[in-house]
Amino acid sequence: MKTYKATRISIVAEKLIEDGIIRILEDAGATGYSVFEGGGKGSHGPHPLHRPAIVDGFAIIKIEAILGNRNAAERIADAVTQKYFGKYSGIVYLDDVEILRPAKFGIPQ
Amino acid sequence: MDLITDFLQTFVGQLQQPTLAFLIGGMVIAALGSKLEIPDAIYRFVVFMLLMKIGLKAGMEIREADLSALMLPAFFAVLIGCLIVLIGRNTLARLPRVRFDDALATAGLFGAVSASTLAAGMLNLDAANIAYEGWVPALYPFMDIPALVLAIVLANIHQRKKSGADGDEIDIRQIIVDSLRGAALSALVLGLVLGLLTRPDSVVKGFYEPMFRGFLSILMLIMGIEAYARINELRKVAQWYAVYAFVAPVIHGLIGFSLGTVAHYLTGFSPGGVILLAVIAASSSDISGPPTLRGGIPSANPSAFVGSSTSIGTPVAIVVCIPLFIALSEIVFQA
Repeated sequence: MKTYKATRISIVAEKLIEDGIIRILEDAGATGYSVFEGGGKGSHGPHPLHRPAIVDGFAIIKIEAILGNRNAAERIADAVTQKYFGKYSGIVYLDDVEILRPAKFGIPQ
Repeated sequence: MDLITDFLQTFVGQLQQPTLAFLIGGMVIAALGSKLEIPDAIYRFVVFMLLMKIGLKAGMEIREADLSALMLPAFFAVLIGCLIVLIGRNTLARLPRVRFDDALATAGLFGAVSASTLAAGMLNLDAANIAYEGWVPALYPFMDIPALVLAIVLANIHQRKKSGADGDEIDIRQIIVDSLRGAALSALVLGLVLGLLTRPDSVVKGFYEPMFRGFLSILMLIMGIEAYARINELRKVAQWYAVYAFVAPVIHGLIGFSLGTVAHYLTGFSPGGVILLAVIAASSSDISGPPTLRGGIPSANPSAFVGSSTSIGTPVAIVVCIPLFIALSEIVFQA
């Protein structure tokens, strides 16, 4: 089994800005992304997981995308932080991952 | 003083309605640490059902109604929404330790309308056999949208003055579109259009209407639980928010009641309609307002505005204002 190196970018943010973040991801060339719903707590206050989110936009989501190009990932991280995290809740982090099927992520074989 | 005893009797009688009971019940069990939760999907479904029913009936009534009778109350609704924001700007925003943005967002929520409070008001009126024009709930967007837009515009102007022409153009059209696209207003407007243009009588009578009371009681339970949960957040911000949230519903409701009474004498607006207008004025948005304000005034702290509205504003509007205005209308209109 041969694995290839890639970078995963994870963005945890309030649902309100989900669309904007996805736009940044797609504009930067991400071939796909995954969205997960969640709960937790941050400097802005709690995001309850089990109670109905009376205000849907305040619930949190994690968006993950795998990119072949580390620079692209860093640019996305910068863009999201600049555009949104001054005003809205969220964090972004990068990690190195190993993947199979590089063509899926736009990585040349 | 007969008047006072009558007033108190009506008031206390209203307090026993299931709407209030479930709201308080929710707050109590949350305070006791109960793990009872109504799932999110059910909550969303309930909100949809309530607003759809309200919209359908309103649409069906507008078909038969004399549209000119609608115009004055609609104008008053817009006026009240804007007035509430301006009052908040000149009172709450000027108090010490209160941030301008937070205050304006709070005033915006109180100017906007709460679907749960509206539904509770309608149910209490039905139980007391007080008639009202079926189209009165359609006044919802007339008060809601201007209040939210005005709050966002004022906050942005203030922001621009502070940081000297900070970018961020306000797109008013986008705010209105986003508001209308929100789940609550979408359901209401869809119901209105369907009621107006089609013949939904069978589904309204067979499904939406019978389920209304039951679903409202569930929504009240959820709002009660949420109200208690948000009290902790409210504690972290200035005390003035709690004071405002207690006092504002009554004052705003009285403004609504007064203007409604004017409409009564000018165009024959029914006493039930006057009460409902007062209730809408007293209400503070919990569902549709907060995301719009968070998008439009991102610097505002949600603990302040959502906390004020959901923890104190809505319970006060439902528990105090609805019975108060029903009792008041008995005196004013000798119904």
